[in-house]
Amino acid sequence: MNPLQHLTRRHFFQNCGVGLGAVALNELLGREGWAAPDHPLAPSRPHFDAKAKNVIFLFMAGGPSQLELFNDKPKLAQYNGQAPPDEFIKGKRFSFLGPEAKLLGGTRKFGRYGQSGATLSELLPWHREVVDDLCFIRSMKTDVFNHGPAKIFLNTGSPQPGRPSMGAWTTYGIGSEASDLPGFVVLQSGPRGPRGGSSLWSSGFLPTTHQGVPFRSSGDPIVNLTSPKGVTEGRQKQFYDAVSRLNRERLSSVGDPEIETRIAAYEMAYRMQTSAPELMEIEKEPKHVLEMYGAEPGASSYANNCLLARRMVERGVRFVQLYHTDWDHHGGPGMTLDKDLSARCEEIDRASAALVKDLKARGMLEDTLVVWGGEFGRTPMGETRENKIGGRDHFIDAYTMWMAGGGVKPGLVYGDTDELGLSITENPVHVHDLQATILHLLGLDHERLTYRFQGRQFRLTDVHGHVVEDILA
Amino acid sequence: MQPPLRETDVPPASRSLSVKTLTPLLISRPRLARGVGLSLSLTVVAATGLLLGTEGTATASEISFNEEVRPILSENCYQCHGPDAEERKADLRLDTEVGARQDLGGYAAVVPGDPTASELIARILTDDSDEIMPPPKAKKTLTAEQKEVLRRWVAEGADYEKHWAFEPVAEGTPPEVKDAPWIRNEIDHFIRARQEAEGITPSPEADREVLIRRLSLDLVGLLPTTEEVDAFVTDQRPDAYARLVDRLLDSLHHGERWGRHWLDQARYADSDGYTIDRPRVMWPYRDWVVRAINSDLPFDQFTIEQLAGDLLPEPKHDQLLATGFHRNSLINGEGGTDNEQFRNEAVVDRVNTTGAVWLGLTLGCAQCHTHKFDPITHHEYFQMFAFFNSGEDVNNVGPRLLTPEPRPEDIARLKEVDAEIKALREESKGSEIAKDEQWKEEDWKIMRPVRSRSESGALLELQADGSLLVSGALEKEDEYLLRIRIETAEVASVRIEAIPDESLPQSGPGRAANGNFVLTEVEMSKPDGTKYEWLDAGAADYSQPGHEVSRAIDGDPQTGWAINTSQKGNVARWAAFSLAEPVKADEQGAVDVRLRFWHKSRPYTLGRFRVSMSEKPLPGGSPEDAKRQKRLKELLTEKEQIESRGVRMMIMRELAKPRETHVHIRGDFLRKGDRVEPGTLSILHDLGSDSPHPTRLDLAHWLVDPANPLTPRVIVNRVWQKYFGRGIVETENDFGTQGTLPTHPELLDWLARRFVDEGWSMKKLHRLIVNSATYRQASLARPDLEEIDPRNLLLARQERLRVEAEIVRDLALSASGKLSSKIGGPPVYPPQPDGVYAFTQRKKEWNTSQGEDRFRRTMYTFFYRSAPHPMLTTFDTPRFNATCTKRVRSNTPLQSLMVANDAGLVELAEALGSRVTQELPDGDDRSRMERMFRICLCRSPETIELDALMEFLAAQRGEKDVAEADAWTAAARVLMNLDEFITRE
Repeated sequence: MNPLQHLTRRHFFQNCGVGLGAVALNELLGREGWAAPDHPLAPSRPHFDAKAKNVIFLFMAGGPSQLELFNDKPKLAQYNGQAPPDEFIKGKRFSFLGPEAKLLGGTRKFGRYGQSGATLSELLPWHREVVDDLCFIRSMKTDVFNHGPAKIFLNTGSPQPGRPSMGAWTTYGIGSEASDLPGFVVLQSGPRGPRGGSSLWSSGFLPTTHQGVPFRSSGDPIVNLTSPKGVTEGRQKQFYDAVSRLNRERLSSVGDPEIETRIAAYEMAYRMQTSAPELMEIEKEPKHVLEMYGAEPGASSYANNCLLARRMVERGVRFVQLYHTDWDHHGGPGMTLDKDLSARCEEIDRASAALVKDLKARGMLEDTLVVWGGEFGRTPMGETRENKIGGRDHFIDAYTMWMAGGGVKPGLVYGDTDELGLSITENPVHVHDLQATILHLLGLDHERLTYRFQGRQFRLTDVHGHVVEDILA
Repeated sequence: MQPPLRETDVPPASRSLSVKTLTPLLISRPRLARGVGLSLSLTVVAATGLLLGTEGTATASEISFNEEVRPILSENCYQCHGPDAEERKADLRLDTEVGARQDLGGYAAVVPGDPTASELIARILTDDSDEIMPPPKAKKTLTAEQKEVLRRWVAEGADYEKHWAFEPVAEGTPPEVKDAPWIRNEIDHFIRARQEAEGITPSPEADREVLIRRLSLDLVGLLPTTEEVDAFVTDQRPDAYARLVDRLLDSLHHGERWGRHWLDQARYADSDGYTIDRPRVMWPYRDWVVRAINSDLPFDQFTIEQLAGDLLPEPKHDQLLATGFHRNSLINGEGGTDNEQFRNEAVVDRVNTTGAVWLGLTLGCAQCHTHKFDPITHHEYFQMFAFFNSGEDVNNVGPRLLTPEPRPEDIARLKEVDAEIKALREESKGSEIAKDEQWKEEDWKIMRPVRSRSESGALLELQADGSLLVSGALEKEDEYLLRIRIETAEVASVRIEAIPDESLPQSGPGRAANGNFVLTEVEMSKPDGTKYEWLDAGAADYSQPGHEVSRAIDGDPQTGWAINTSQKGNVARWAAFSLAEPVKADEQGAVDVRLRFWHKSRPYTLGRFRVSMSEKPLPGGSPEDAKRQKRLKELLTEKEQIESRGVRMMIMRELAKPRETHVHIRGDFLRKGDRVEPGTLSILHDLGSDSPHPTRLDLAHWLVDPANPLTPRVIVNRVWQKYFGRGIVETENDFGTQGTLPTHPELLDWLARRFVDEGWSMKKLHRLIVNSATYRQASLARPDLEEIDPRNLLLARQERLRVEAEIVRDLALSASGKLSSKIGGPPVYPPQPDGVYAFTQRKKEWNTSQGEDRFRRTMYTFFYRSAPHPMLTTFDTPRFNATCTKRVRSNTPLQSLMVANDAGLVELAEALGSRVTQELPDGDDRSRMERMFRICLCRSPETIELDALMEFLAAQRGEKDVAEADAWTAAARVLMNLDEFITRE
């Protein structure tokens, strides 16, 4: 063997080991790629014992209405059509609502379920079955009220595009256990992609290896996963072998460990070509499982994506994010709180509950954190479109999300709002707190998980965020 | 001046000892940086705690503030004891000498010469967790070595030094070296002297095949042809290399290659960004950059034209195009946005971009508070902000330039057309149509704006009847902006009703004392600002003489529609206008309607009004009216035709009256603090303008003032970084106290000074660097330096660099023979995989280009910020939401999948396969394979390599249903997938 081949980056790690500066790390990791065992996605130790190994984030894009789904506010119905108290409106900014907006009572029927007695509306019947596995946070709040910025904020801690997203921070912090799939995968369902686009799963200034990889839920899950037209598996194998052979030849003559990384990347690419299609074959799941989710092989649906998320986590994918779009119920055609919201709920209710149930049955819920929610909620005031009050505007001051598994207290209803749902009355949870808590469950200290860029240390929670200790199991 | 460089600082003894101190980690004592230049990133130094050697050698000389002390203080202390007064704890600042020594009530943090009396030392050494600094909650700890550095620094007198980057550029001469034969130019003196001091030898010059491929990739980003390689390899002239350099610098593709680097910094893209991400026309700016680089426009002029071309006296068309630089900021086209918010975000982006690109400073850190580490105050940030705060553009509305510049005959014709349009409208003024005869109320649909705003801050309250009632602020100049969701299938005409209300003077409908108003302009536009044309003159149920309704759409802000309330009463009136072309709701969901009011002396705004729209155009009047309308339509069409020969590109333009700038408290534009005027940073040279209101032009001059120590250093460093993979200052975007120190400070200053002295010529700088022996070295690994210099900081070899995304495909294009050499023009749409837009909010059009445009250089590929071509993102092209001063270079399986399987690249492999067959019609397999190898890698294959390829070819041929051409395509794919193919050796 050529002595030059001994020159690996591993050497540098072994020798410089602990305390290697971030600038140097940037340089090294940015170029490191996948050469086991140094590669940046190799599983690595968290800051402390992790409760969760994986995250499935069910992102309801558009901002689902907490007042139609989770929070029963009889007073709101009582004051229906009246102006909200002045002190509430003062200083607030909305995207479409004018100051003339009036309170809008909810029309959905609510019930209390499970031992926790959590309220759920008639729109989420399947949720009743798992209600005692869920932890509802009814006191969520965020900072920005437009879709794009708010989604980017929830994912990256900043409303402007360009920072790393939660999934990227996670694989940066603890790597991934998947050897032939990416560590951070994004799935999408609904009529269009989420606003904010790829900024939502960007690796920002972290190395690209941490970027979320969008998987399409049917057909080829990744761009360019299939061999070129007419190239058989056998020919493709020959192709990969030839590339590898010639790259090795080059490595022995120039000695750049980067070539070793490239060889490893090609090997991984080859494995992905075989394993990713297998992952997508949900038709191999037993019939009762498909039924439980409401999944249909070949379709492109939220239900299929939930099932895929479970299959990914089983295969070691660290962070799976599902976007289901069109929750922006302002009123007006296609955006009403009655027909259109019902349709959205029907699409997600069964499969979300099935995912929790399925993970639990397989013993995976313990170390898989499931998060459900959107970038903000909706106003207690109604919004008028087409001369009809049929919707609600974006609301950032108080809304609801739920979490399950992964070290979160099951059967808990946390935080509350006033009788009209206008303000949080107890235990506020800011988006930065949620981020800090998710990282905490993964064994990461949000204040220590930092990356130096443009002269300062950056982190997911910017300079904010507190772990919500109360909801930890 | 450099950080004070006293001869005694670097005693010969320490030089001879330096090699010893390099082991085992190549981390020499950073203080050597001053004398002979080796320094690692501060963080590495700080974190690894290697500051002081294990031997006594390190203690032999004085501690340096800049290189040893400041990094420790900056990283661990400045956050609470630094420049930011708001965050400062215990009223103590350690970033200034005065602050550190000030009396804290009988004691001081730093007592020069007396560590035991210095509270700073006591607090870092204590075991008491309540006392210790940094406090445990800061999660920062000092190593024993760092504590010792601080203790010794205090003991030695605790001298402060100004941060190196803020010192003037030193006038140095290249140091002497022993190894004179190796030297090719001044650069080599600096590099070699340093190597000699560390006792290491450079690498030999790379082979000629490597050199020509390296130069071609670096200077033009394309492969040399096999003929060019042969010619260079056999060129015996002594200046063969220099000639090659000159030829490549003269190539028009050089402007593309280095223009693209600049476009990274300009965050150039072809779409608006955020979620709506509409296409935009900025490519004429891109082409301006390419032209400027090809003509070697001096960098100072290049700077001035981009930052303030519009403010130059009688700016040329090209100088206006150049200002597109700062119109590359994002625009949020989402419904329900606050345009003022996004206007502010664009200004912030312009400040931060300017800071990063020219000054190499992280100004953005001072947006919310005084910079934690660098001497930049919150106030100063907003002084810089003030330079950019008076642009006309507001989120999606702003000045545009018709480009290319219309031909003189077109300009003349446009003038005529405009005059005739005006005359026709004038002629038709006051065409009054009685409401009851011509109009049916059911033809109108009342539109309730989904959003409304008054420029002056007046309150617009939506009433039950759909009208808006105005109250509050009353300014003589105002504009009401209404966002209207179209609720009819199409809109052919728009009506404004003026409605009396008891709350108004004399019951209105205007807000003037007599209830009148002057509506000077009615405009309707797409939310992106594109205006719709009105047809003819409009109609009204009554117009005050001299204030005919046509005057509300004549484009003249001095004239408008009024209703003479004093004589005709305070009654409801209406005016209506037809559109030149109806707007279809399924094409345009929402429009903006603007009502402008302007009256010289007193406010004449509307008090209560309502907007309706109709699918019907205004009914025609007399035959003259019909004739006039026909003619008007023709003229408008002609105008559009003339203008469509060009495109309208966004440029910068200054408001006649500048906006006031206030400090934004905590960076929130809604929380206004002190008022500030445009101004620069006090740590640097004076602005040198006497004007009480300096402009962007003053700022641009200030940036390229010879007294500015940052701009030339930052620019030469960034150029250097492209050639060696790392800048002399590794943190190319942070020359502040948190950045890394230069590895070769004297070289950096020498280059910076030379750059300015030679008239800011970029081409001369390129020529200098690529002609150096340092650049011409081989890039082969150096096992002998593995221990001493594993990161190649001393440049004893060249670096192997994977090329950027665009170049990956450009190389495949040039190998395939398909490359179009066309330069510039509108963006193109090469093939891309299906489903790229599955994840974007709006589906985008991607009509794959055919013919030549399919094979254009990748920098011309249409760039949607929300979903760029996967080729680009996979190979680390950022999204250009913000400036990019350095590309990341990752190495991932997704890249492998891309090059291996992408249909667009396979198409090029196929072309390469058939190209070789055609070029060598009589050649055997082996000679064809060899040629293909040489096309891609510019060298002849080793036997073992050629054998491997031949075996592969045979294996492919042996598979079922493989045509001859398929086997060659496969071979071409293998070559294009080699690490070497996408690497600059």
